[in-house]
Order: sequence, then C-alpha cells, then structure tokens
Amino acid sequence: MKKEYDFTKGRKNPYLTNLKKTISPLQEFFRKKSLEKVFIALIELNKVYFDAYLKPDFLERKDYYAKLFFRKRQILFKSLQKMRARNQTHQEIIKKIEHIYETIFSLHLLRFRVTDFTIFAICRQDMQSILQLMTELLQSMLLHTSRRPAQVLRDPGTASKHFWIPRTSRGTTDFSADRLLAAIHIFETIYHQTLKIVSPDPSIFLFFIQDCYTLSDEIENLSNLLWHPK
Amino acid sequence: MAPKMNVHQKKQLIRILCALCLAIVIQYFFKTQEFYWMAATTIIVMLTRRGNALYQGLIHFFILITVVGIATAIFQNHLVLYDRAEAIVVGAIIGIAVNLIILPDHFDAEFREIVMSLLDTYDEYFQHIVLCMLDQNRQLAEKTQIKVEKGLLTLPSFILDPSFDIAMRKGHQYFTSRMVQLSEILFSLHHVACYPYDQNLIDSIRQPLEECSIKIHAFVIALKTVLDLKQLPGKVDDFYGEISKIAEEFKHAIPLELEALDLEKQFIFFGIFLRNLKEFHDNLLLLAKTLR
Repeated sequence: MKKEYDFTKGRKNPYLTNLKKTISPLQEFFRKKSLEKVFIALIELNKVYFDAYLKPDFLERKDYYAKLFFRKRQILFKSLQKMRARNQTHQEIIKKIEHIYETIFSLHLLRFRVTDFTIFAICRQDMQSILQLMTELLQSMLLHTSRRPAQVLRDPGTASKHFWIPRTSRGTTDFSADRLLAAIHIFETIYHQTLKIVSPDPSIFLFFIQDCYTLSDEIENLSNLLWHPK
Repeated sequence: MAPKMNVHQKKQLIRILCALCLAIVIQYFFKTQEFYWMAATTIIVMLTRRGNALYQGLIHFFILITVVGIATAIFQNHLVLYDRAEAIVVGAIIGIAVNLIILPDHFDAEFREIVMSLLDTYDEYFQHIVLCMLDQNRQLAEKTQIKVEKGLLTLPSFILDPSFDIAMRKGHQYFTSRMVQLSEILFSLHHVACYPYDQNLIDSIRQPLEECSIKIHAFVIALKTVLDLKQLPGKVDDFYGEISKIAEEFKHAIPLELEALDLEKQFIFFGIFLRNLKEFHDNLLLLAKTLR
C-alpha cells in the first residue's frame, strides 16, 4: 500500500530530503564544472591574445586572429554567464574572476597601442615565459577546482600537445606566483634597459608591466580564496 | 534529437518551400522542359548566408550557369543546352525574387539595432565606471558589466567569416572590431577605476570627469540618432577638452622625480585610466567619422 505523509504537521518530507541529498552533489558538480570552464576560457583567451606578440605572422593573418579572439571572447562570456548562475552563493569568487578577466583585457590593449610589431623581437622570449607561467598558475586553479588526477588541456595551436600539471604529495597543486613575479621583474629590466629607449611610446610597456603585476596579484588572491575558503 | 533551428533558418526554410511551390505552379501552367534543373537552381540561389540576398543569389546563379553551360555544351547537344539554360534562368529568377520578397532578411537593420543597444550599454557602463572612480560605488558598474557581456554575445560571429557577403563585409567588420575594442577599453577602465586613489587627486579631477561623462552621453545619443537614420537636432560637442583638463590635473599631481612615479602605483593606474579615456574618445570619434 502506498504510504501517505501529512506535510501540514511539520514532518520532514523524506522524498524531499532524499531529493536534496541527490541534488546537492549534482549542484556542486555543475558549480565546479562551470568554474572549470571559465578557467579554461581564461587560459585560452590569454594564450591567443599573446599570439599577437609571439607569432610573427600576426600582421599578415590579422583577419584570422581577429576571428580567433572574437570566438574565444564569446566562449569566455558564455561560460561567465553559466558560472554566475551556478555560483550565486560564492559572490567573492565571481568578483575575483571578473577582476582577472578585466585585467587580461587591460593587459592586451597593448596590441592596439603598438605601432611597430618588430619591437617584440627584443622581448619575445620573456613574454613567452610570462605567458607560460600565467598559464601554469591558472591551470593550477583549474586543477584545484576540478580535483581530477590530471587535467588534460588541448593547446588550440597544436592539437597533439598536452599540459600536465605536477601535483604535490598533499594532493593539491603546487601554487606559487613567485616565478611569475620573477619573470615580470626580468621583463621590467628589459623595459628599463631597452624598450624605454627603443619604443616610440614607452608608457604602453609600463602599463603592460603594471597589468602583469596586477594579474599576478589577482590570481594569488583568487587562489587564496579557493584554497582557504572562509 | 533534431537540431534546433534559429529564426533565420526557419525563415529560409519557409522561403525555399514557397519558391518550390511557385516553381511547381509555373511548371503546371507552362510545361517547361528540365523541371528538375529549375527546382535545383531555385534551391541553390536561395542557399545564401545572411547579408545581401540579391548579390549572393546572382553569384550562385552565374557559377551554376557557367558550369552547367560548359558541361552541357561538351557532352550534349545545343537544344538541351537552351532548354536547360531557360530552366536555370527561370529557377534563379524565382529563387532570388522569393528571397527578396517573402520574409526578407534585413540584416543591415538588425546589425544597426545591435550596435545601438551596445552603444547604449557602453554609455551606461561608462557612467557607472565614473561613479565607481569618484564615489567608490562599485555595485552599479558590476551590474552593467554583465549587461555589456550579454550585449557582446549578440554580436554575430559570421561577420568575421571570409564567406560573409563581400558587399557588406568591410563595413560590418569595421564596426564589429570597433565595438569590441571599445568594450575592452571599458573593461580596462573598470579595472583601473576600482583602485583606491588619493582623495585629493579624485577631487581635482571630479568636475572635468563629470563633464566628460555628460558629453560622452550626448555623443552616444548623437551616434544612435545617426544609426537610427534620423536627423541630428544640432551640433555635438567633442569631449577632448575635458580629457585634456583631466590630464593637466594629473600632471599637477604627479611627483617630479621619475623614480617616485615608478614607486607610486596609483599614478601608473591613473596613467592607464587616462590613456584608456583617450582611446575611448578616439574610437567613438572614428565611429562618428564612418557614419558621417
């Protein structure tokens, strides 16, 4: 016989309780999934933006890159919308991620400001290392969010390359912005020694360096929030 | 599961069905030879991307008639060629006419609507960024930021495809790239506006920045009026004077030694803000020049 429950007497509805028990891990899963997608979108957007300075064919294939930037930006905005809907109880994380992407946009206004792209030949290697370290930091957060044994990310440029993040014995990814800060310091030295003299508008590189520092700080703040939630 | 169709695809399907019905009616009354060629041509000239339907339809027609004409002339006799050419011409006329008359795509108008609403959102976002900088009121700017993101998602990506209508490509791509650049400048402005500046510096730039935001609002309204194909009621003021005033105040505030400038983070942030403001001005002006 079917059991009937009297909801009016303030009893707990076992169906609802079971439903909540089933739904809450699912909600958590989708919440993390949405965060994961935002991190992937941020990593890829930052990477393709750096192509403007690192790839020598940027000026010849401007239309191709414009389309690539546009697509990656749209992916980021879509994933941000989903993340906001699924992380309503984690407003601080949302704000930090918003700061990160604002800083990434600010950082890459450099591509509109530079008139002579040959100037990047001086600092290409250092920019490459800045990009690599930024990517590693963002990936470590991605790993922390997903809590998978190893995260595989496809490089948009070379489909066969994968990035594997080392994990510490504690089970979390190793996070330190020191290496990124060191790379920015090296870039700053190049700015003071060469770029300041060679560039027709040196202030744009000063702004770039400042934005790099800000991005490093923002990533560190977000990692603190993810690693040690209040 | 059947794939979801967007409005454009639904419209295209209706148009193709109507054109095929029309082709069948013509076949019934005029008993043309080579009906299948007529129907096939009708469909081929109608399979256009969003943009100029006449231009794209004509291109499809010329390619088809050239290929079919050469192939028929080589492999079959002249009588077949004439019949086939007649069917292809009739099919193309039906296809292009239906594409232009029944539920036509007004992509130009749609794009203008998108740009206008985006400009509106940019204006609102800028006003809130100014509030964020002057009064540390961050909530409004954060809310409008989401609106800007949603607005940017409405920009169609196929404009940047090389296969997009040649007649429209250049203008639309230019507008899209300007709108994207403006959005990135605004995000950057938002990022630097949140920095806790020295109150004296903020007080010194308060008046010119407020005037600048009023003038930007008027400028955006003027841009929208032109995009709406309406006459401008009067002249619109440029806001470069206000930006220069802010720059002057900034020059008064910065320390004389360059080393100190390197140390004071707020001056670099303000430098970024000023640079972004100038670029925002330049981009709006470029849009206005294009519309003139």
